[in-house]
Amino acid sequence: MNRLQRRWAIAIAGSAVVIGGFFGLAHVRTRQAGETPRLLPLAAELEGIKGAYLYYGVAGADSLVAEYRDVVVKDRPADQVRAIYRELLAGPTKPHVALFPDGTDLLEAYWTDKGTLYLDWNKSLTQGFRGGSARERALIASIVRTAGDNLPGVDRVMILVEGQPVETIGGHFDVLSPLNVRDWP
Amino acid sequence: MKRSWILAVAALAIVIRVAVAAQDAAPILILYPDPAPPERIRPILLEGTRYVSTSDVARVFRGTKYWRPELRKLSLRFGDHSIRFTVDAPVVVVDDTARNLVQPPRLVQGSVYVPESVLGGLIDWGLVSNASWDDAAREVRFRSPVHTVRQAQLWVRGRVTEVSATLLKSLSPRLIYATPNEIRLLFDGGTLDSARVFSGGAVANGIIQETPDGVEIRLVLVPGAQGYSLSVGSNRLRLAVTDDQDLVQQGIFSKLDPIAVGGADGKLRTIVIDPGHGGRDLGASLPGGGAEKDATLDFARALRSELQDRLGARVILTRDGDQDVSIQRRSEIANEWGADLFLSIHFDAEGSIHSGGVRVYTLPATSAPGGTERLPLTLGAEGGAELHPWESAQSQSAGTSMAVGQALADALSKNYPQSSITFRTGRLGVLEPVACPAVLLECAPPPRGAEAMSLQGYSSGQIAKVVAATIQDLARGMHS
Repeated sequence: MNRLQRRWAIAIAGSAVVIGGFFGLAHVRTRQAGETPRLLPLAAELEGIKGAYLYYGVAGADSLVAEYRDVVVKDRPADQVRAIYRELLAGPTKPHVALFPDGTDLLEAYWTDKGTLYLDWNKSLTQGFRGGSARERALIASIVRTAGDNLPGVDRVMILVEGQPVETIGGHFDVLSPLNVRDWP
Repeated sequence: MKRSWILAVAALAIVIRVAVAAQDAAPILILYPDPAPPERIRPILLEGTRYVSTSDVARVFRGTKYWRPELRKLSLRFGDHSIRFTVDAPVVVVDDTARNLVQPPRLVQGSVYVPESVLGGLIDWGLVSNASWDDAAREVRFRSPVHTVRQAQLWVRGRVTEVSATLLKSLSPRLIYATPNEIRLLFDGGTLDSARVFSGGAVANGIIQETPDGVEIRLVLVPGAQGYSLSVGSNRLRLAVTDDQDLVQQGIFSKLDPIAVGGADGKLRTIVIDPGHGGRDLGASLPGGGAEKDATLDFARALRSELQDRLGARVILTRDGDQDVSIQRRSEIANEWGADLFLSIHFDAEGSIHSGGVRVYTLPATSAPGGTERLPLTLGAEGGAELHPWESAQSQSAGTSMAVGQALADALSKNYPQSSITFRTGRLGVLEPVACPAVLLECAPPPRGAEAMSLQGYSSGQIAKVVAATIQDLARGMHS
């Protein structure tokens, strides 16, 4: 084997090794993916994961934007409601605008068989709100649309604060009676 | 020489790898109805079969996904239908019927993946009805929803200008107002094939568009319009306008009357201005550190002065100092004084008006809060007083309120063309109980720095002057 032939042989062998390596790696990755599933590190009391559309504000505009996110939930509908809203309260993961006042928490959720969802918030929702009509409208729409999109059967949302109906959250919009999901697009 | 060989081989390997990867993960195209942009979702290749993430499936088809990891079961719900997958089992349950899959669902790094063919299955099995799956092109195409109001057109026939539209179901339009300047019509809950703008004949500027309340037709008329005619057949809307007075006198067309603000004699005697917030309720934080409650009071006082000078009207403020006044009390004050017009003033610098502008709100010309249509009660056998439910008193004046709100928005747009001036409707608590035309104005304070340079003449005092001048024109029946 002369010098030129040796170079050819080395180049071909090297190519085979590199290409084989790429294909082999891809195959191993595919097999691993199919055969050895890895569960997400989830809490021990986990019951399930629900995909949810969560609505946040858009900077410089009066509109909302949805983020689709996996939410860890338990089985009972009220637990699912709490989990979805706590995820909403946790804020956006993209550069969107968080709408809830600091310290806001969902205390309880009740769901009637007539399609009305009662959400009982702590006082921070109203006492901590500082904003105009656009922010207040966006906040209410975020609450209502999050229910309408993720909880089949919910047609109306009633906002309570520490168990009591409130006239308004920020002094503009009337939330004293249940809010129809279709009225808050 | 040797180095060039190695580089060539490495480049070849990379090209091959990229080609293989591209084939593995050739994306699926999702085509939504206009105006939503198309989207691509990327499958993964498992054992020679393309798999898609159930998170993508749920998101694209607007389903709700529920995953039980300990049971390895995942359900997707689409309206009244559901499909249940079990990881590694090639059988799914669609509603209550078992179906076979070409390959079982797989769990990949904590996410459930299903064979790409499930996309077609969702449609074939009746879970999703508004889309189709093209197996060859690997595309999901969403169909446009069936619209109830379609093919709006404008016709000019001599001295009659007509807007017509095809109705796919029996819809009753609500005439919100018809004045010599403008006609506004709403189909509650209707949907529109496409928004259109038109002009011609007696219509200077017309628009048909979808709003949160339904399909709305708004026609801005040329000066001299005299009458209108509205007819709705089983599948046709005809809204005609004429400048021919004879057609009005013959009763063929209804007369276009100016906006009726004021008492029975058409005079604006009492105007109630409501400076928003106050006392412990600071309202929004404004740029520069000011509180909304102070800005609203300053504006209300300036507007009171302008209105008194221009109209000689009695102008009442719901608060003339820094005090707490409940929302209900503000409405009560308007009703106690027998107001002819109620203006609630707010300030904000967020969203679309962050660098100047005004939002003008009224209640929608639809049903009472809570979705219940309530009718007025009558006291006394003959012609007694009418009692209106407190929370829906505004519904009697909602059409006029919208006309006043639109007139204010138009005037402000004309004066501040570079600013965001919007007119919209909403469930405003302070307006609902008011028994006269009622409008809420939310103004942005003048912007600072470079933005202020482009807004010459934009100040709270100037906005108050524009608002007062427009109300003066409305009171004279001269708004244009």
